Amino acid sequence: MPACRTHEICWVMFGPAFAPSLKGSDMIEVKQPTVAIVDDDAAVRDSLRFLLEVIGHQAETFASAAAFLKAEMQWLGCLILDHHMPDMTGLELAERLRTGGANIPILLITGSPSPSIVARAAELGIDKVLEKPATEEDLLDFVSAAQS
Amino acid sequence: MHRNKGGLFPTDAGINTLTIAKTRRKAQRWSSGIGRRRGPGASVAATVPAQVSLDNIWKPSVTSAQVSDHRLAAIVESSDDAIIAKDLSGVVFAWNRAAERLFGYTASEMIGQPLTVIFPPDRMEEEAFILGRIARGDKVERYETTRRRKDGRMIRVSATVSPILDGNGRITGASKIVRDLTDRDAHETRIQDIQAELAHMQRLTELGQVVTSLVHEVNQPITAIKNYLSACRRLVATGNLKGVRTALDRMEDQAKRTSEIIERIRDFVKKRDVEMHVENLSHVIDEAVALMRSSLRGDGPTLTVRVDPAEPRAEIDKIQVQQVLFNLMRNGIEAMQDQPTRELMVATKSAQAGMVEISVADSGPGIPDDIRSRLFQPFVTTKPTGMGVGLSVCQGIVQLHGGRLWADDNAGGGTVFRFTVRGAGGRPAVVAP
Repeated sequence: MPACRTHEICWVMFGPAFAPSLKGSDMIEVKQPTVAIVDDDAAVRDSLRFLLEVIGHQAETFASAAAFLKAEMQWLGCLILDHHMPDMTGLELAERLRTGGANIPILLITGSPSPSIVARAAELGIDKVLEKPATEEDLLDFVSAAQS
Repeated sequence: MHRNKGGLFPTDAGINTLTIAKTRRKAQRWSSGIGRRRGPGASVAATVPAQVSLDNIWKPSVTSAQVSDHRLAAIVESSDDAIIAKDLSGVVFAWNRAAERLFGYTASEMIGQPLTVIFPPDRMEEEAFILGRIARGDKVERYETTRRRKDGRMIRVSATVSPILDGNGRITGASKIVRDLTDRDAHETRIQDIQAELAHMQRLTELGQVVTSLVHEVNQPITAIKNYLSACRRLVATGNLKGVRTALDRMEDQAKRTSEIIERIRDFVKKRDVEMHVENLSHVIDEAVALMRSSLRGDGPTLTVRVDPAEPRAEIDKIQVQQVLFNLMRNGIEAMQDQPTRELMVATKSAQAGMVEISVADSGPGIPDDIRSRLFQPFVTTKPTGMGVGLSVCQGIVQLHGGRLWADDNAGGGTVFRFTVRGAGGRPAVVAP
């Protein structure tokens, strides 16, 4: 499956290098569900994970929709989803999840939130659509509301 | 310089063709004919045979060759180029009608005057240079300069000056053929203006296309930097300097990434010289497709690339060919906007005479008949907001590559744009430094 290969390559290339090196005292140990981040841009997803971890959330990153689906995550709290991705877009992934009965909170981030994207997001019960780059406040509002 | 007595006088600067030949020492005969440069063995001489003859034209007194002289005089008089003769001190002794028109001085005003009358003050030293060459027996060919008319107006001219020899081969003066460059210069300036305008518009259109992908690409590192900044602020508040350092390093990486993107866009837009290298077509096409993809929203068409393994490389200017590909792909995608199936295929195949054909096929509605014949003309477009310079620019680039660009109907509906470039003929690709 080509998408999986892309994921592996990205992980090998960017995963260890970008994984936050916060350990022990840097982290606030709270047992809580994970925030999943799906974005094809390594820097975007890793920086978001870094920020969420600094705040004290558990976060997991995925380079593509396919990689996320393959991981079959347990303890999933909410999903932060980039819309503009090759192979499967954020909206397509959301559709797949909703069709499969998953009702987790979803935040869709897109470079240009066109009316058609916003309308489709509403149909799919996506909780929030934000324009990239999203503000810290908007992001954290969504995450803390979803995780609580 | 050749100085044979029975010489020809090739008038390079003139419209063509005044051949002046001296057949005998005493019975001089002038005849018109086609004056061309000859090979080294032929009798080529940049000399007007005798001052006497030129005198004869304006002061007919010799009887033996009067008829021919009159014929020549008529030719000289009706020439569109100014024909002037002066002695070795620069004093004018012949001035034809075209010279009267060009400089505004009549023959009677000029004959007996130094030719420097028509020289602009800052070009006076040119006369010494010209006369110096003439005195050595050399010719001055198509010398482009400025002269001043009687009314004071400066005009651009091209002058060819040749020594005049007497019957004994002695240099006695100079004949001068002067052509007006005003029309030519105006024409060239206009062409240059149009070309500059087209090039400018091409850059604007490209810029518009590139801006979309630029926005998307630059947005990524900026998003990352913002996230790290937010994290930093919190880490500083808790005194976690180790975490701050990590975040700072990554921000630096992302700032570098931003500069690189901007540098790349700048390169793409910058006017540059053509650089032909052997390139791997799959890389060239993949890069253009990647740029296209990044400028598309999520619901873009299906994009397929197929490179013929028989001729995988071509000798091209990569950036320019990518510009052509980018333009053609964008055209195809825009044409398919309202179509149920949207498939774009970029393919290559080896063509005749060592060429490679690159095609971009869409499943759009095809080209309207009224546009088809004018497809490659500038300012012809089917797009409501298009400028219509894209295809004409593409064609210019393809022609520069020794290929051609044309459009066919796609077998399954839609349009195929095809263009050819020179294949590499088995040579390996040049590895970029």
